[in-house]
Amino acid sequence: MADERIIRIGSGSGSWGNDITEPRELLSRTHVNYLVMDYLAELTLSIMRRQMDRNPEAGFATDFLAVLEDILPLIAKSGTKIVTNAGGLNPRTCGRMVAELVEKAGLSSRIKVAIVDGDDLLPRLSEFSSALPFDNADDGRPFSEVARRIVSANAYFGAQPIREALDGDASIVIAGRCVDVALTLGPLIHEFGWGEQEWDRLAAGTVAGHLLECGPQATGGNHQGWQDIPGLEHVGYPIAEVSENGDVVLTKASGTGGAVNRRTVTDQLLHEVFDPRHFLSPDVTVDWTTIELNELGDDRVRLSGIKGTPPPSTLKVSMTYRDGYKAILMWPYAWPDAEKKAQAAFRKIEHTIKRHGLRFDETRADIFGAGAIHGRRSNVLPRAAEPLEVIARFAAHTEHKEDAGRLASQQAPMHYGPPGLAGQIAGGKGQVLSVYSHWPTLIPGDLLTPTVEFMGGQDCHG
Amino acid sequence: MDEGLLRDIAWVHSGDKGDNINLGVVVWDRNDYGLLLEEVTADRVKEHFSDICHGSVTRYELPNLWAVNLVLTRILDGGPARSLRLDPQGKTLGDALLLLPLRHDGRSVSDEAKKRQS
Repeated sequence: MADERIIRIGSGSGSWGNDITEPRELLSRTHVNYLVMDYLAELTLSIMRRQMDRNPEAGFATDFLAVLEDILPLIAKSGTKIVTNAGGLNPRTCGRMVAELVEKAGLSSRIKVAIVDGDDLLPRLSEFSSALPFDNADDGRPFSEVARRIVSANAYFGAQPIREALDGDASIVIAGRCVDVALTLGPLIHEFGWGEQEWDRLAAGTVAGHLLECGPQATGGNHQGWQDIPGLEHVGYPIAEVSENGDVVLTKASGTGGAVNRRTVTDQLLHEVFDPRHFLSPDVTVDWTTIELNELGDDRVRLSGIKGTPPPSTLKVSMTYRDGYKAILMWPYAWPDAEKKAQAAFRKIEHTIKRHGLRFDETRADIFGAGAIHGRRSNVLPRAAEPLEVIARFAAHTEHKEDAGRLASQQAPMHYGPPGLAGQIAGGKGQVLSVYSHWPTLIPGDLLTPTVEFMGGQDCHG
Repeated sequence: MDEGLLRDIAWVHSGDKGDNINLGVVVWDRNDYGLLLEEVTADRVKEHFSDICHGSVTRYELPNLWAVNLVLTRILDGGPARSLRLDPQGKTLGDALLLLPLRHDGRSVSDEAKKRQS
């Protein structure tokens, strides 16, 4: 058989807040054709919405600019293309700033920047919601419960707009909300010309994307067999090698920590997968039970046999809505009688809530360090000795911001409660958080059109 | 502790979506897959988490990955943003499942499991 062309795709980010030096770490150790960077989790867009409300130039993953500044000289040399959803709610501003960085580096003739936009439903929400139910896809609650409190609403696009940007010769593609796997599948469709109904190949590209989307969760990070993982302190980010026929080999750069074996790959394969026979995306439905794993040694695992079927006709929509406020207070106590001191602190705070007439619809008291996490499930373990220290944690939810604030200010006065409060650990005030809850729903795919645009007056061949 | 815990034969990966989680349960040694299917039933998992899981438990089998995937609904007290839990994303619920007692009195388990027990 003739040598089959292999495309190497590396992961540079698994979520917003990853170490920004990881992309350089990968690119300086090995060659990849593409580097994909995922920044968006379910609630990231609500954070971006709040930032954008204060500053119209915000609303995207700003880390990406620092990363790009760091790696521009490397990708100019290697020809590595970048595909990311760093655009968040504001791919246009993100794209403009990236184009400025490229221009400043004197590379704008060689590195074209494109954005994928059109996933933001918020401007047309009232129009859409008059014709569509938007009921909660998880639990069936009617949209009317939250309609007036919606803060963000984004549809998950698939791989085709990313493919289109790459067909137009983009070297950096900045999307907003799209399915995480599209960052990888888009380049593969562009490179191999896979047809829109080549379900098994699209399925293989989707699995490759799933293995890359959480960064080092595929290479030994966050794995319960962690004590068998070498070099976890410098765990390498994963790299997928994909061939035209849909074979996938997962690996990582040599010299990095972590491991790529059956266990680490299986860990990420199972990440946030629900019905494994119907892994849904806008491009293909994948049957996870068809994946065959083979350990090749040297931190290489081959995935084959992957089967796909047509995708659903609807797109997933992720909305977030204002959902009141949380206050969280913490008081650390030491031996002797650490648990009893925590209970006394809870009695004092409940008395205070009554005296101030604070309104809460839910409260919760936990003694961290005394079995709070596993609860009754830990009864099968030998009974632990009296804890040497605990943290008393009190949390409350309210619709009233001022009540959350008044509760939070009760952290320091606990000094006059039980003795020996190591209060500096938690600080003088409790935490107050605005809650933005998630509202998953669906929209018919044909109601939305993704747009692809090249930035900075660059030529568009798309 | 005589009869052992799920920890002896399997490991778990936790993921969250809204108020729901998945727990991927994978045997260390392929020879224990039959045991996993017998021990980790949807009913037993529902009972294990009955104080915090207010929805359903569904089990899917993935023999190709030596795994079962458990989907537990309404278990995060409203989802990661709203939840007052110490662990609002449920990342420790995989650890909590490892505490599931095994019922296979006297039945042999794989060498890998025996190594981990010792």
